[in-house]
Amino acid sequence: MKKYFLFAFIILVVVGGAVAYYQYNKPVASIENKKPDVTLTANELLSAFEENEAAANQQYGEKIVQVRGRVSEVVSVEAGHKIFIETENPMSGVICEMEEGQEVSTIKPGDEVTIKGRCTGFLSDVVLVQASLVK
Amino acid sequence: MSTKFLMATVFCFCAHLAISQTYYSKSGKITFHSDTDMEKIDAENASASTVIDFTTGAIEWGVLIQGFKFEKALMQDHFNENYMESSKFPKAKFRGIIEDYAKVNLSKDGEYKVRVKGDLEIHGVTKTVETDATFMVKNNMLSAKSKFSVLIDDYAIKVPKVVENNIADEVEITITADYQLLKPKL
Repeated sequence: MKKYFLFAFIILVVVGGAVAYYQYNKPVASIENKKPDVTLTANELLSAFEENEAAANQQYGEKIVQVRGRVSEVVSVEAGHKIFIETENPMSGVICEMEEGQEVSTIKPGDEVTIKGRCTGFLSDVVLVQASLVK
Repeated sequence: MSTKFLMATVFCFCAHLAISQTYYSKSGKITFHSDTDMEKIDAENASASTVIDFTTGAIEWGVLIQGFKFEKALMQDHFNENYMESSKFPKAKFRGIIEDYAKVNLSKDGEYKVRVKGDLEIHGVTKTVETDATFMVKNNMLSAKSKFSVLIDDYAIKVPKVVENNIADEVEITITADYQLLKPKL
Protein backbone atom coordinates (compact mmCIF):
# COMPACT_ATOMS: atom_id res chain seq x y z
CA MET A 1 0.00 0.00 0.00
CA LYS A 2 2.81 2.37 1.00
CA LYS A 3 4.56 1.61 -2.25
CA TYR A 4 1.42 2.45 -4.16
CA PHE A 5 1.19 5.89 -2.54
CA LEU A 6 4.82 6.59 -3.25
CA PHE A 7 4.28 5.66 -6.88
CA ALA A 8 1.23 7.94 -7.15
CA PHE A 9 3.16 10.73 -5.49
CA ILE A 10 6.03 10.44 -7.97
CA ILE A 11 3.61 10.46 -10.91
CA LEU A 12 1.94 13.56 -9.50
CA VAL A 13 5.25 15.38 -9.09
CA VAL A 14 6.42 14.48 -12.60
CA VAL A 15 3.13 15.44 -14.27
CA GLY A 16 2.81 18.60 -12.17
CA GLY A 17 6.36 19.58 -13.01
CA ALA A 18 5.79 18.96 -16.70
CA VAL A 19 2.62 21.06 -16.71
CA ALA A 20 4.34 23.89 -14.84
CA TYR A 21 7.32 23.74 -17.19
CA TYR A 22 5.00 23.78 -20.21
CA GLN A 23 2.98 26.73 -18.85
CA TYR A 24 6.15 28.61 -18.01
CA ASN A 25 7.66 28.20 -21.46
CA LYS A 26 4.49 28.64 -23.47
CA PRO A 27 5.04 31.12 -26.31
CA VAL A 28 2.68 34.03 -26.92
CA ALA A 29 -0.50 32.58 -28.41
CA SER A 30 -1.50 33.54 -31.94
CA ILE A 31 -4.71 35.53 -32.28
CA GLU A 32 -5.24 34.69 -35.94
CA ASN A 33 -8.19 32.42 -35.18
CA LYS A 34 -9.73 34.60 -32.50
CA LYS A 35 -12.83 36.69 -33.10
CA PRO A 36 -12.28 40.45 -33.09
CA ASP A 37 -13.61 42.39 -30.08
CA VAL A 38 -14.41 45.32 -32.31
CA THR A 39 -14.58 46.03 -36.06
CA LEU A 40 -14.20 49.51 -37.56
CA THR A 41 -12.45 51.56 -40.24
CA ALA A 42 -8.86 52.78 -39.86
CA ASN A 43 -10.21 56.32 -39.90
CA GLU A 44 -12.61 55.68 -37.05
CA LEU A 45 -9.88 54.03 -34.98
CA LEU A 46 -7.40 56.89 -35.46
CA SER A 47 -10.06 59.54 -34.78
CA ALA A 48 -10.95 57.86 -31.50
CA PHE A 49 -7.32 58.14 -30.35
CA GLU A 50 -6.92 61.70 -31.64
CA GLU A 51 -10.04 62.89 -29.88
CA ASN A 52 -9.42 61.27 -26.51
CA GLU A 53 -6.39 59.08 -26.16
CA ALA A 54 -7.06 57.96 -22.60
CA ALA A 55 -10.64 56.93 -23.42
CA ALA A 56 -9.54 55.17 -26.62
CA ASN A 57 -6.86 53.29 -24.68
CA GLN A 58 -9.56 52.08 -22.32
CA GLN A 59 -11.79 51.10 -25.20
CA TYR A 60 -9.32 49.53 -27.62
CA GLY A 61 -6.08 48.90 -25.70
CA GLU A 62 -5.18 45.19 -25.53
CA LYS A 63 -8.33 44.37 -27.52
CA ILE A 64 -8.41 42.45 -30.76
CA VAL A 65 -9.32 45.14 -33.25
CA GLN A 66 -10.25 44.57 -36.88
CA VAL A 67 -9.72 47.54 -39.18
CA ARG A 68 -10.56 48.23 -42.79
CA GLY A 69 -8.69 50.73 -44.92
CA ARG A 70 -6.39 51.51 -47.79
CA VAL A 71 -2.73 50.44 -47.72
CA SER A 72 -0.26 53.32 -47.94
CA GLU A 73 2.94 51.36 -47.56
CA VAL A 74 4.27 47.85 -47.01
CA VAL A 75 7.57 47.73 -45.15
CA SER A 76 9.72 44.70 -44.49
CA VAL A 77 12.17 45.05 -41.67
CA GLU A 78 14.35 42.54 -39.89
CA ALA A 79 11.61 42.01 -37.32
CA GLY A 80 8.98 41.21 -39.97
CA HIS A 81 6.45 42.83 -42.26
CA LYS A 82 4.45 45.94 -41.53
CA ILE A 83 1.43 47.24 -43.35
CA PHE A 84 0.62 50.94 -43.01
CA ILE A 85 -3.03 51.86 -43.46
CA GLU A 86 -3.79 55.44 -44.41
CA THR A 87 -6.45 57.69 -42.97
CA GLU A 88 -7.77 61.19 -43.66
CA ASN A 89 -4.86 62.52 -41.60
CA PRO A 90 -1.86 62.65 -43.98
CA MET A 91 0.63 62.36 -41.10
CA SER A 92 -0.74 59.33 -39.33
CA GLY A 93 -2.63 56.12 -39.76
CA VAL A 94 -2.68 52.58 -38.47
CA ILE A 95 0.52 50.53 -38.38
CA CYS A 96 -0.01 46.78 -38.48
CA GLU A 97 2.91 44.65 -37.31
CA MET A 98 2.16 41.41 -39.11
CA GLU A 99 2.37 38.06 -37.36
CA GLU A 100 5.26 35.89 -38.46
CA GLY A 101 4.30 33.75 -41.45
CA GLN A 102 1.68 36.16 -42.80
CA GLU A 103 1.85 36.31 -46.59
CA VAL A 104 2.00 39.96 -47.60
CA SER A 105 3.85 39.78 -50.92
CA THR A 106 0.67 40.39 -52.91
CA ILE A 107 -0.32 43.45 -50.87
CA LYS A 108 0.56 46.78 -52.44
CA PRO A 109 -0.14 50.46 -51.76
CA GLY A 110 -3.70 51.38 -52.76
CA ASP A 111 -5.20 47.99 -51.88
CA GLU A 112 -8.24 47.88 -49.63
CA VAL A 113 -7.52 45.48 -46.79
CA THR A 114 -9.06 44.20 -43.59
CA ILE A 115 -6.56 43.44 -40.88
CA LYS A 116 -7.03 42.08 -37.39
CA GLY A 117 -4.54 42.65 -34.58
CA ARG A 118 -4.01 43.41 -30.92
CA CYS A 119 -4.15 47.16 -30.36
CA THR A 120 -1.22 48.43 -28.27
CA GLY A 121 -2.11 52.13 -28.35
CA PHE A 122 -1.17 55.36 -30.09
CA LEU A 123 2.16 57.07 -30.77
CA SER A 124 2.13 59.06 -34.00
CA ASP A 125 -0.05 56.25 -35.36
CA VAL A 126 -2.30 53.60 -33.85
CA VAL A 127 -0.36 50.33 -33.61
CA LEU A 128 -1.72 46.80 -34.04
CA VAL A 129 0.58 43.87 -33.29
CA GLN A 130 0.31 40.13 -34.08
CA ALA A 131 -1.72 41.28 -37.04
CA SER A 132 -3.18 39.05 -39.74
CA LEU A 133 -5.03 39.65 -42.98
CA VAL A 134 -8.74 38.86 -42.89
CA LYS A 135 -10.07 37.44 -46.12
CA MET B 1 7.15 97.96 -44.31
CA SER B 2 9.90 98.50 -46.82
CA THR B 3 10.21 96.20 -49.78
CA LYS B 4 13.75 95.43 -48.73
CA PHE B 5 12.58 94.21 -45.35
CA LEU B 6 9.84 92.14 -46.90
CA MET B 7 12.29 90.57 -49.33
CA ALA B 8 14.68 89.84 -46.50
CA THR B 9 11.87 88.19 -44.53
CA VAL B 10 10.82 86.06 -47.48
CA PHE B 11 14.44 85.12 -48.09
CA CYS B 12 14.91 84.09 -44.45
CA PHE B 13 11.71 82.05 -44.55
CA CYS B 14 12.79 80.23 -47.71
CA ALA B 15 16.26 79.66 -46.30
CA HIS B 16 14.69 78.23 -43.18
CA LEU B 17 12.58 75.83 -45.23
CA ALA B 18 15.61 74.76 -47.22
CA ILE B 19 17.67 73.94 -44.16
CA SER B 20 14.82 72.54 -42.14
CA GLN B 21 16.11 69.07 -41.42
CA THR B 22 13.60 66.96 -39.63
CA TYR B 23 14.14 63.23 -39.71
CA TYR B 24 11.74 60.61 -38.46
CA SER B 25 11.12 56.89 -38.21
CA LYS B 26 8.07 54.89 -37.29
CA SER B 27 10.02 51.63 -37.19
CA GLY B 28 12.56 52.35 -34.51
CA LYS B 29 13.69 49.23 -32.71
CA ILE B 30 14.04 49.02 -28.95
CA THR B 31 15.26 45.85 -27.28
CA PHE B 32 16.06 45.19 -23.70
CA HIS B 33 18.04 42.53 -22.00
CA SER B 34 17.94 41.38 -18.42
CA ASP B 35 20.62 38.96 -17.39
CA THR B 36 20.83 36.98 -14.15
CA ASP B 37 22.20 33.56 -13.28
CA MET B 38 18.63 32.27 -13.10
CA GLU B 39 17.31 33.66 -16.34
CA LYS B 40 18.03 35.71 -19.42
CA ILE B 41 15.15 37.81 -20.67
CA ASP B 42 15.00 39.56 -24.03
CA ALA B 43 12.19 41.62 -25.46
CA GLU B 44 11.83 43.61 -28.63
CA ASN B 45 9.63 46.33 -30.04
CA ALA B 46 10.09 47.36 -33.68
CA SER B 47 7.42 50.06 -33.87
CA ALA B 48 8.94 52.84 -31.83
CA SER B 49 8.52 56.31 -33.27
CA THR B 50 11.25 58.92 -33.26
CA VAL B 51 11.84 62.44 -34.58
CA ILE B 52 15.03 64.53 -34.76
CA ASP B 53 15.27 68.18 -35.70
CA PHE B 54 18.83 68.78 -36.87
CA THR B 55 18.40 72.54 -36.79
CA THR B 56 18.16 72.42 -32.99
CA GLY B 57 19.37 68.95 -32.03
CA ALA B 58 16.04 68.09 -30.43
CA ILE B 59 15.30 64.38 -30.36
CA GLU B 60 12.22 62.42 -29.31
CA TRP B 61 11.38 58.75 -28.95
CA GLY B 62 8.15 57.04 -28.02
CA VAL B 63 7.28 53.38 -27.63
CA LEU B 64 4.17 51.43 -26.68
CA ILE B 65 4.83 49.10 -23.76
CA GLN B 66 2.21 46.55 -24.85
CA GLY B 67 4.06 46.08 -28.13
CA PHE B 68 7.14 44.46 -26.58
CA LYS B 69 7.50 40.89 -27.75
CA PHE B 70 8.84 38.22 -25.41
CA GLU B 71 9.77 34.65 -26.05
CA LYS B 72 7.44 33.43 -23.31
CA ALA B 73 3.80 34.47 -22.91
CA LEU B 74 4.05 34.42 -19.13
CA MET B 75 6.93 36.91 -19.16
CA GLN B 76 5.00 39.20 -21.48
CA ASP B 77 1.94 39.04 -19.19
CA HIS B 78 3.94 39.73 -16.04
CA PHE B 79 5.84 42.54 -17.75
CA ASN B 80 2.61 44.28 -18.75
CA GLU B 81 0.37 43.55 -15.81
CA ASN B 82 2.71 43.48 -12.82
CA TYR B 83 5.86 45.42 -13.57
CA MET B 84 5.10 48.09 -16.16
CA GLU B 85 1.32 48.37 -15.48
CA SER B 86 0.95 49.09 -19.18
CA SER B 87 -2.78 49.80 -19.10
CA LYS B 88 -2.03 52.65 -16.67
CA PHE B 89 1.22 53.75 -18.33
CA PRO B 90 0.92 52.72 -22.01
CA LYS B 91 4.04 54.53 -23.27
CA ALA B 92 7.67 55.13 -22.52
CA LYS B 93 9.04 58.42 -23.81
CA PHE B 94 12.32 60.16 -24.26
CA ARG B 95 12.65 63.85 -24.99
CA GLY B 96 16.07 65.40 -25.18
CA ILE B 97 18.86 67.16 -26.99
CA ILE B 98 21.78 65.88 -29.04
CA GLU B 99 24.34 68.12 -27.40
CA ASP B 100 26.87 68.06 -30.24
CA TYR B 101 24.43 67.61 -33.12
CA ALA B 102 26.47 69.99 -35.27
CA LYS B 103 29.11 67.25 -35.54
CA VAL B 104 26.79 65.16 -37.69
CA ASN B 105 27.40 65.99 -41.33
CA LEU B 106 24.25 64.74 -43.04
CA SER B 107 25.77 65.00 -46.50
CA LYS B 108 28.99 63.15 -45.77
CA ASP B 109 29.24 59.40 -45.24
CA GLY B 110 30.61 58.48 -41.87
CA GLU B 111 30.03 57.57 -38.25
CA TYR B 112 29.41 60.33 -35.78
CA LYS B 113 29.55 59.79 -32.04
CA VAL B 114 27.38 62.19 -30.09
CA ARG B 115 26.18 62.80 -26.55
CA VAL B 116 22.44 62.78 -25.88
CA LYS B 117 20.82 64.14 -22.75
CA GLY B 118 17.20 64.36 -21.79
CA ASP B 119 14.18 63.11 -19.87
CA LEU B 120 13.29 59.46 -19.95
CA GLU B 121 9.80 58.54 -18.81
CA ILE B 122 9.07 54.91 -17.96
CA HIS B 123 6.23 53.60 -15.79
CA GLY B 124 5.06 57.16 -15.16
CA VAL B 125 8.41 58.20 -13.63
CA THR B 126 10.65 60.73 -15.37
CA LYS B 127 14.43 60.78 -14.88
CA THR B 128 17.19 62.74 -16.56
CA VAL B 129 19.50 60.44 -18.47
CA GLU B 130 22.63 60.89 -20.53
CA THR B 131 24.09 58.49 -23.05
CA ASP B 132 26.40 58.12 -26.02
CA ALA B 133 24.84 57.54 -29.41
CA THR B 134 26.19 56.95 -32.88
CA PHE B 135 24.78 58.33 -36.10
CA MET B 136 25.66 56.65 -39.36
CA VAL B 137 25.35 58.48 -42.67
CA LYS B 138 25.60 56.36 -45.77
CA ASN B 139 24.45 57.26 -49.29
CA ASN B 140 22.27 60.03 -47.87
CA MET B 141 20.60 57.60 -45.46
CA LEU B 142 20.69 58.33 -41.76
CA SER B 143 20.60 55.70 -39.05
CA ALA B 144 21.30 55.77 -35.36
CA LYS B 145 22.08 53.44 -32.51
CA SER B 146 22.59 53.69 -28.80
CA LYS B 147 22.95 51.46 -25.80
CA PHE B 148 22.42 52.35 -22.17
CA SER B 149 21.25 50.87 -18.90
CA VAL B 150 18.49 51.77 -16.51
CA LEU B 151 17.99 50.72 -12.92
CA ILE B 152 14.46 49.39 -12.61
CA ASP B 153 14.31 50.77 -9.08
CA ASP B 154 14.71 54.32 -10.48
CA TYR B 155 11.37 53.92 -12.27
CA ALA B 156 9.46 52.50 -9.31
CA ILE B 157 9.17 49.09 -10.97
CA LYS B 158 8.51 46.58 -8.24
CA VAL B 159 9.59 42.99 -8.59
CA PRO B 160 8.13 40.44 -6.16
CA LYS B 161 10.54 38.51 -3.91
CA VAL B 162 9.84 35.16 -5.62
CA VAL B 163 11.27 36.28 -8.94
CA GLU B 164 13.84 38.66 -7.50
CA ASN B 165 16.67 36.47 -8.73
CA ASN B 166 15.21 36.14 -12.23
CA ILE B 167 15.14 39.83 -13.09
CA ALA B 168 18.23 42.03 -13.18
CA ASP B 169 18.36 45.29 -11.20
CA GLU B 170 19.93 46.91 -14.21
CA VAL B 171 18.36 46.40 -17.61
CA GLU B 172 20.33 47.00 -20.78
CA ILE B 173 18.46 48.89 -23.50
CA THR B 174 19.51 48.99 -27.15
CA ILE B 175 17.88 51.31 -29.66
CA THR B 176 18.33 51.53 -33.42
CA ALA B 177 16.52 53.42 -36.14
CA ASP B 178 16.73 54.09 -39.87
CA TYR B 179 15.57 57.65 -40.30
CA GLN B 180 13.76 59.25 -43.21
CA LEU B 181 13.77 62.92 -44.11
CA LEU B 182 10.41 64.48 -43.42
CA LYS B 183 9.29 66.15 -46.61
CA PRO B 184 6.96 69.01 -45.87
CA LYS B 185 3.75 68.80 -47.87
CA LEU B 186 3.32 72.27 -49.33
